[in-house]
Amino acid sequence: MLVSAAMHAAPDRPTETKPPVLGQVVRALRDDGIDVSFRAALDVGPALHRHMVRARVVSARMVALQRAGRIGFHTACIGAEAVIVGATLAAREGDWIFPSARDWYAALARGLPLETYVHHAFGSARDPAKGHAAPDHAPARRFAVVPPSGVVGAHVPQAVGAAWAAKIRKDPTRVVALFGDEVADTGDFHNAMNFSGVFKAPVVFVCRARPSANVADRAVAYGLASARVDGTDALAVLTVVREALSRAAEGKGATLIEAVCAPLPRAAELDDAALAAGDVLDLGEDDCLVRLERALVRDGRIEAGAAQGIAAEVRAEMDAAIAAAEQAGPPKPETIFEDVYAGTPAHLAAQRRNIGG
Amino acid sequence: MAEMNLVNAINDALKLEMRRDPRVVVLGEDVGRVGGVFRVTQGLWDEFGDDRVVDTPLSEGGILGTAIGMALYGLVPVPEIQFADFIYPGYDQIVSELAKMRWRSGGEYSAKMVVRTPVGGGIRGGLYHSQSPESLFIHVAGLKVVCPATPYDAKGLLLASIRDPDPVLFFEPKRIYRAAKGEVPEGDYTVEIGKARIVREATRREGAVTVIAWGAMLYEAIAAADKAAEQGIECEIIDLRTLWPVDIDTIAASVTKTGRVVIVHEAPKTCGFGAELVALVNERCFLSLEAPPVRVAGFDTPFPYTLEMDYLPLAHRILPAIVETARY
Amino acid sequence: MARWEFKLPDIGEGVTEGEIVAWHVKEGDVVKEDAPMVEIMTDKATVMITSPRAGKIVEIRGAVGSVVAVHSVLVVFEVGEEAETSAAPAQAPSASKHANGNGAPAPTKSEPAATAVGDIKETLPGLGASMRSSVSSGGGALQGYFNEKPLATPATRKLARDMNIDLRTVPPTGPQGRVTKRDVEAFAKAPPPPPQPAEAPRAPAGAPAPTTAFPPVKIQPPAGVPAALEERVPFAGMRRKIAQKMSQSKNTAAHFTFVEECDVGKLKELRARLKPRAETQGVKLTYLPFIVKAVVAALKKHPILNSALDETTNEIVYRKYYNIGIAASTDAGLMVPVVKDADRRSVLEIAREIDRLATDAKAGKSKVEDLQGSTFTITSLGAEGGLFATPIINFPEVGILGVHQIKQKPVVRDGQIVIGDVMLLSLSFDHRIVDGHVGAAFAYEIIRFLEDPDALFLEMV
Repeated sequence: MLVSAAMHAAPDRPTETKPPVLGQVVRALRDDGIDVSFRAALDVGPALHRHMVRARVVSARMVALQRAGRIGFHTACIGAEAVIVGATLAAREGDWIFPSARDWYAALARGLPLETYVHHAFGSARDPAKGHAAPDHAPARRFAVVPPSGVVGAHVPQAVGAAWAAKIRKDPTRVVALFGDEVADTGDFHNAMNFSGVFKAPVVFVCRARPSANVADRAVAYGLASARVDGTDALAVLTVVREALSRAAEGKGATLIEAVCAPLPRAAELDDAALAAGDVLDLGEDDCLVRLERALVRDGRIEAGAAQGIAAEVRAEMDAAIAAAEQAGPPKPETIFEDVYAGTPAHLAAQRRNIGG
Repeated sequence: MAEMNLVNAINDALKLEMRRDPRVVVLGEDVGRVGGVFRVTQGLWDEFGDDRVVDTPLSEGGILGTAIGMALYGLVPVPEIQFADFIYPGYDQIVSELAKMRWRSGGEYSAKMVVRTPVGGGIRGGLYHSQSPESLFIHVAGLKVVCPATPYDAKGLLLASIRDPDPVLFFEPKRIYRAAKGEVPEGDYTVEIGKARIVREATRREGAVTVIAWGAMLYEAIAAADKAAEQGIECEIIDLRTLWPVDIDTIAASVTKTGRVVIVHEAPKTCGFGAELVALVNERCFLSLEAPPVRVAGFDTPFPYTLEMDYLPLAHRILPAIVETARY
Repeated sequence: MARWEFKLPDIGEGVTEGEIVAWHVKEGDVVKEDAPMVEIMTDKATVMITSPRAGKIVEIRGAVGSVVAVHSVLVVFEVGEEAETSAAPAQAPSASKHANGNGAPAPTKSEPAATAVGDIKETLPGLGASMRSSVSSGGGALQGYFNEKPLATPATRKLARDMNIDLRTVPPTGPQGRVTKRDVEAFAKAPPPPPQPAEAPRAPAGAPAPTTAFPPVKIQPPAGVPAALEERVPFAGMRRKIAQKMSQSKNTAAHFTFVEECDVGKLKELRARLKPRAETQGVKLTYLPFIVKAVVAALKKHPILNSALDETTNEIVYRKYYNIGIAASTDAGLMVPVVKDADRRSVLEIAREIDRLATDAKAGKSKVEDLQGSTFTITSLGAEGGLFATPIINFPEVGILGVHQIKQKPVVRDGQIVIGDVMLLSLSFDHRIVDGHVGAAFAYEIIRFLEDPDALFLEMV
């Protein structure tokens, strides 16, 4: 089936094919192989796979670190890798990404070094955020990824603003906003949908949603295009987001994509040893990683068991990064006063002098 | 030089800067075709068009949230909030996002912009059109807060604010939008953020009183000082202009000289900016004090409609404070 | 019409401040000369201050409970054209500087001052009222109640520090007892003599501080007890004065107490015989005049008990006059009227004087001079005096006699147990001055006179 057929176009635009059925879930991965409509995404398949394994292994290790009290915080993404990685890799280099905290891997998928991410998680002296923000809120301007906010949904209208600014400046830039379905409860969600509808901002909203959430249906009221996609199907996510970004680039405005993925029951049961060992690569039939790997192996894109090799590399990389972060120690106390303002006003200079007591 | 009121001066500054800097974008409710609820943005849409003068949906959270995104992307938004009283739906975006973007990204990102909004009472607007919430923003690390009282300062400070690398809350005292008039240079000039203005200098040390005010209350302070002068009491009047970072050096120099200070503001007294100023004066000038620092402020009540002139700290309430402080 | 300020006059020897107990006038009243205006309680007594002239009262300053310094403005009058700007009886030179400005702005006529934003009216509500309330609120005055910490602005403190002057030694002339910059400057030119020992005892340099400073105690209901189960009343006025005096005594004098019985059968007979005679002269004869006489006789034998310690000079002052304080409980609290020259008065005269003092004290009409100058004090513990007591010395005296009720008790007389009339005496002494055996000897001297009142005749002058 054509992807565009499953996309619900904005109501003021004529649809390109027959009217889509609201609620129809787009899937690429079938039991008997890959839907022909999605074969173009297969070129990205190995990259998707590598990043999803990496995200899985890193997140598992972070959960273990958090349980051990070595870091203060982590928002695990186990089971949601297909959405995060698929949406991020769908974007072009110049596009901007506004992730929420759980979408922290977007920055890594864009190129943020794992070591930097770990320095940030430890709030070390080499944390780009200088220990100011909690883990999973890393800035990555070099990769056009905005640091997640701690306020659920606050970044979504900002994504609209950035897209709108790009439109005003006639830049080809498009924006992807990533968030979970809890954001759909907030006023910021409404503001973002409303403003993007009014200003036809080139933004794509990708919402990780539980099956019962019905987020995409709301797009109709805002005059937005929408789609519902299988959130455990990385190829489908990548393809649908790509298509939405193309619409945005054509001046057709924003799209709200609901990526449906049920929480993985086995993810919650993982013990510390499994997490620390990264023994998390097969969490059952609904596991996005298992599904993608099976399809890619069948299509000859990767070797069977490739995930184990990638995981081993990532574990070694993590070990080194953790050691480096712990060795780096905390930032200097006076860094508290950096970046409050562009300069240092007198009152902060005075307080900085007193920090040692 | 031309005589302008506050509205003309702000409008002049916006036009000038939009011509100079293509990144500057004005957005808000009815700021475009209508020219703003107080007509401050009149004529901008005609000159700069839809892309740069944008009528938005009625949602302060949406205006400020999207403006932050625009700023992150590299534009210089100048959102208008119709009344400061309506800023609270966007307060989270200001407090958690705008103020902290530079800090939480370790300096990688900033969301510099100027949020323009009319403040203060005296226009028969009642509690939803009269508030003075400046201390709610001064309390938030990362923001600068400006409140001009004269057309000259309004233009110069707005130009400085738009060019400032940090987010600025630009409070416009609506009661004197048209009443405050003065000579304003036609071209480009700025008034430095963080510098107070000594409106009237005390010639004597003994018995003089420093009076600190800003916005519309500056004129009440001047009127009270004139009356005090009839009783032989001299006042040194300071217009803060920038509320944060406050020009404590100018305040401290004056209070060290006079030993007496009266602080005037419309906002409720408790935890108003006057409280911080008193604390700073105590820290900086304690051994020079000849009298306890005094606040003349709005009451700790919501802003009333009918009795707004009783609520406001007008000259008749400032005068006794000056006299008592002088004769303490 | 002119304004005239009435200032708190110097109402007693050495009195520097007084607490406002009650106002008998209010703003707007038109008063005649000598009309009662305000009751002021000083260290010595509560006095009614009357109006020195007729006029309309336009302002009163000082809330009930606040402490006002001598020479500070109490009442502002509107009087006839001839009135001077300011006057006060026994006015201190420095007080005149408040004359021209401390009042509310004179209600002059002028047009409203227009501003860009509103009208300023001279007659707007709140202008005068706000002036008044801040002057009369008295919050600052209460802080200066004990004068332990001098009141002064930071600028004045800085000046005193720079001039190396102890602010506590500078006599204040400012509002509410405040030390002003001018006070400091005047003091630097000519420091006044040290204060009178009786008024403000001060330890000489190097002597241990007379009191130990503890942080103020905060009283809060215990956990689970609602605040409504506590009632708070102001700690002020007489109660506070008493507390001050008692603390000073207990914290300074080294108290010890001595208790002994006294068989007063003969005194009882003597009083019974003399009582009708006294009544013919209009005097109700109690035991107290006899006890006063016995005490005076004992004081003459043990003059150290009639002494006081001058801590400023480290001298023991033997008083050759015998003024006996009689502690009396009144509705307002404990008062100690003084029988002057008790050694030179007859029993009958003493009885009459005690009666007069007690009547005045109960009515709250004691004169300042009746409440000062005692050299030794007797406290009558009365019917509810208990088995024995530990009276607190009326400082700076060195001894006090507590007298219990006469009770019938078995006593051994000539080897027989008989019913006797027994009175207990509880005496406290300042051990710094009075040794134990001296105090005991003094007590037995009193007992000797009371058990054998005839002996008093031998002591009569």
